[in-house]
Amino acid sequence: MRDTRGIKQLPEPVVGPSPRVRIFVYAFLAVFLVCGAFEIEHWPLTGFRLYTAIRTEERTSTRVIALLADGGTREVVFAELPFGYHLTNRLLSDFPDMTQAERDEICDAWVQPLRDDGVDVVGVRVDEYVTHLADPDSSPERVGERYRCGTS
Amino acid sequence: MRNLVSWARRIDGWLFAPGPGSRVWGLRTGLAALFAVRLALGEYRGLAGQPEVLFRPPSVWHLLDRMPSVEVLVAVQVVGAGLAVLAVLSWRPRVTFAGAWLCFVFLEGLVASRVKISHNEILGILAAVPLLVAPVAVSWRDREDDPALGWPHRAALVVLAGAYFFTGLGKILAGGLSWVASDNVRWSLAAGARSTKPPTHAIAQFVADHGVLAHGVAFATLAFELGFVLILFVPRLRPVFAAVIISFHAGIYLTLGLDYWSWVTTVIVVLLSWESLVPRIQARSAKRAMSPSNS
Repeated sequence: MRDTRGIKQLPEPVVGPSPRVRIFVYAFLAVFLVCGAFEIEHWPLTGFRLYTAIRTEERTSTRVIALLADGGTREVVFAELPFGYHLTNRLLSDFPDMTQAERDEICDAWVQPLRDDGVDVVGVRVDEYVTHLADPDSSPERVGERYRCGTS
Repeated sequence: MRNLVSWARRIDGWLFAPGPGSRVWGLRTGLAALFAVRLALGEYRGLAGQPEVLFRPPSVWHLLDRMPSVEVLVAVQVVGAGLAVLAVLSWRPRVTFAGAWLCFVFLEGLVASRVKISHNEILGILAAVPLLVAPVAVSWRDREDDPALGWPHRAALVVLAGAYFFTGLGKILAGGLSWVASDNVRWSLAAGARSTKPPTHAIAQFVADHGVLAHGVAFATLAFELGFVLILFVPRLRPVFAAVIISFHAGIYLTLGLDYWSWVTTVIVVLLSWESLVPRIQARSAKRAMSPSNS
């Protein structure tokens, strides 16, 4: 019988993640980092552009006003509309590149909940406002009408 | 070339270094709990009925031509919340966690289809991606380092570090140092003070009224976001960053009214070994069960 006392025991092989898992992890992290570094938006992958715009003392905003058949008006408050409508007023930034028919379609959609409630809406007006933030007591000043849209 | 290979080996060695199974359990259970709460409380049914012309889907949601019906939304929400609860209970975690994640991503993708993409849930969604292929035979008891179990935590750390770093980098790329040097933050807070979103106007207005303080907040924000990568290299700083994150997002909520508690939860779950509290909680409940008043 041979003397085996001099033979060293081999170390147990280190079992790490499989090559497939490694490829998946590297691919995911690479895509995540590329989207972040180059500000690529492909939700849920994102460029993380959060609060990047530089604010100034003069703040411009818009208000969407429903024009009623009786001559009155009512402001469309997006936060009070169903959840699917929230934030859709941001489409206003695309309005300059849209045709009048496209604007009409969007404005009609915004006042649809009012019409569903039986309010007779004949059109929509989009007003521009300016707020001077240095004065805490100043209220937004109406600059004028930006668009008129929607169909009766 | 040799340098490149050396760096690649160092990165690989760090990313796939051994780690305890308890951390994988902690990540999966914590994120599944986050998904369960968000799925249970989400306003998703309010998305139904959105006019087709307002539907602006991102990426693969383009395959849909409109918002799904309320029946579909509620079904996905209920199934997703149920799967998330099962994942928290570690019942068939591979399938239940992936299912809950898919339901959550589907619904949040629809939330992001309202013209402006949503970042509110993005951190938890992305930090969970490595867990989709991570080992599932793990428990909070597995404290020993295992060569196959360290990477899910490190991959999630990269997601967190990247998210905050790119958020800071984006500010510099967009406006250079003027994000800090100008009155940018002062005017942001002044606008927040006029908004109906924050629970109080006083804090935002106070900072906006003190220009030096507003510049300090701007500098601290940028330094904190860019410095978040330190969590990768200095483990003892992780609890510090977790504490700063809580106050950072609490401050954002109090001044601007933005709800980022999903980010806070994700940071706590990833940065802190909260699963080490499980034995203490179990011991306390066992002690309570054995106390004479319960006999």
